[in-house]
Amino acid sequence: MNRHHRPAERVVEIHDLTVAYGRRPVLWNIDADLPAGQLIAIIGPNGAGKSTLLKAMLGLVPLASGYVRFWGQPFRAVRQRVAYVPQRESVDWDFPATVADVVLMGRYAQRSWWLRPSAADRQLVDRCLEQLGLSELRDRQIGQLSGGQQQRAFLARALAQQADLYLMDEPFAGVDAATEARTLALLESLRDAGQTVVVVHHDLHTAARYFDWVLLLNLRLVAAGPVAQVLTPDLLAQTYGGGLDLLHQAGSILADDLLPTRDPTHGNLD
Amino acid sequence: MATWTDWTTSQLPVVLAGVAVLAGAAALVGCFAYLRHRSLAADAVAHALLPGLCVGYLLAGERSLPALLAGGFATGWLALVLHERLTRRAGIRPDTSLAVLLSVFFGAGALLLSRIQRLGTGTAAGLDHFLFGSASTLVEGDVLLVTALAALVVAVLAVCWRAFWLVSFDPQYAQVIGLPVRWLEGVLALLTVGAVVAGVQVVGVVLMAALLAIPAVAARSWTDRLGPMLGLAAAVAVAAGIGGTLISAGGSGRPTGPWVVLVLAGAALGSLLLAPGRGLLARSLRQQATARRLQNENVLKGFWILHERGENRPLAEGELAQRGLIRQRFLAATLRRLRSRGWVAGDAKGWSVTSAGLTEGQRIADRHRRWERWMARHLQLPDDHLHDAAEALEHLSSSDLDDRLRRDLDENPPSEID
Repeated sequence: MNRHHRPAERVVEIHDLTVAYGRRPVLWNIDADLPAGQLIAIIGPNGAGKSTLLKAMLGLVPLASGYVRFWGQPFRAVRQRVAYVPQRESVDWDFPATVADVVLMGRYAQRSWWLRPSAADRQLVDRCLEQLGLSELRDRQIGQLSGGQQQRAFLARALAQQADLYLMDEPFAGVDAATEARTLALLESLRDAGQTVVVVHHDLHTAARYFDWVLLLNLRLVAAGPVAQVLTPDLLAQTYGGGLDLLHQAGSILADDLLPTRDPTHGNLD
Repeated sequence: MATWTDWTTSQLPVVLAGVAVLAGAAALVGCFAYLRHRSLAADAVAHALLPGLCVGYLLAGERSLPALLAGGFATGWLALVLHERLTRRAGIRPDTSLAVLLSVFFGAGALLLSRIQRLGTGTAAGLDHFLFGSASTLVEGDVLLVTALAALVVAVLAVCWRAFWLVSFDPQYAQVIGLPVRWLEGVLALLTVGAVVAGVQVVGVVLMAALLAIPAVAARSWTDRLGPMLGLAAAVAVAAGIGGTLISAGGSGRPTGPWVVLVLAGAALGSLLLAPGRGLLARSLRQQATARRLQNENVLKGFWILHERGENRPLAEGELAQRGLIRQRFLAATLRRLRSRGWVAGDAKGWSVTSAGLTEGQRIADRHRRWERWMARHLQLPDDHLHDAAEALEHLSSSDLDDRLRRDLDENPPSEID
């Protein structure tokens, strides 16, 4: 699947990114560049900070240090080019909305929220529903869908944004085989159209087959690069093996002692 | 305790208009509180109005409605801000935070109220009406104020409802696509406090949350779309407001607020029971229909198996029960149902299956056996595990699933046919 060997344009630059929940750091000093036109996986064990990295990139959690740039600009300047697929469990599905309603929400990324959706918006919604095999379910209340169908509704909503960069949080988690196949087909068609897709992924077995580029993450960035170079036994052992107890303990002490995650009083001796 | 002022007939149109407008606006705001799981927060805000009303009275030195409502608005807002701080900064769970804030603010209000009453002017000022409300104290000026507030609420909703809908469903997504989420949440909170302040004179701080929460519950059971839900909630609330007011006006001196709340609760209870789709009655009917279909299918399958064994003579109910077609207490009713469809014939002396019934029974039995074969092949289940699972699966009447099952088995024909 590594068909893109030429050095690609850089879509995302993550520089010295540190994130803390409360005062406990959950991501330390991440530096990474994400190349354009690739299927990119963020892989790591539970609690590694994968979802947090996505949220930090999108400004949903505050940064303790560092910055993230998209096409060289801050997120708020280019948010119309970025689509987000949150975890399915993050919303209450017993909400008065149909599948088509949810997909239509994606259009508000491109238009003012006080305006009615246009006929063109509705046509685009229909195409997105079609592409994810949801056309027949368009008028169903979203709580009546299966888990896989709900996940596809979220994908269709992101697709309706017509973005250039897609950030997806565990789109393959807990879905049926049909949804998995359709999701993968969608990712590949986006990539083949020149767009970039970043996916938080939990399944090591499928990672090498599905993705072009991998970020191995466990509190800090272990490695980033083309699948063949990164999914090696040695790097995987570093990601999934222990050895980070020290960092966990340091984080706990920072939290317990109410120390700042970044010392604002330090000088510039180095 | 509040005392209830008697009605005078000339007041009635004014009071009716005030209660109806207020209930409608509160219901609209309440729908969004309901969707954002904030109904209890609205209740806490309502209770938190009491100390503010008292402070407003003490500062103004008289019962000036604008002063009272301004005071109430201030403490209601303060309670919301404290709730946010307690949950986000101090790590206290929302239910605990609301329980604490509600009782502390209400307790402070009760202390102030008793102090005002000891001044000897409290009862005359009608402050105690703010506990349970008293629509009969509404005068035309109040109705104008309430109507203006309600019109403002409707206007804001007309402009912002799409954004509120997005924020209520998925606030993080709304933030990512560029909606001003904090600002929108602030406006929703303002609307909530505003609706509570507007309504407190009629239903009181204790009952106000009912006006926000109950219409949303009633409306939600009838529809899965937001627009109709908002319209229905407002309609139910207006009707209950008018109904409750008329009831309380009929029996002189009865309180309006409690009647409105009880009428609303009746509407909600009726909705939960009777609404098609989500209603309890509809669900129970669906369950019964399914149960009857299963009984029908089990009896017909039984007749087919007897037919396969060569037992074709009519059988009495006792004999059929003995052969274990279905539990005996369902047998008689099931046989009568099947007779009315022409699938069995006979009476108490003896029952036999018709050819149409046999076809039906064979369909079920075949499906049962296909599932057994499929599970034995694909799930590697031991034989004694197959039957019970197939007993359930045989009732799945999806032609799509049947086709796949057949294809699956035909592609890998079983080595032995059972």
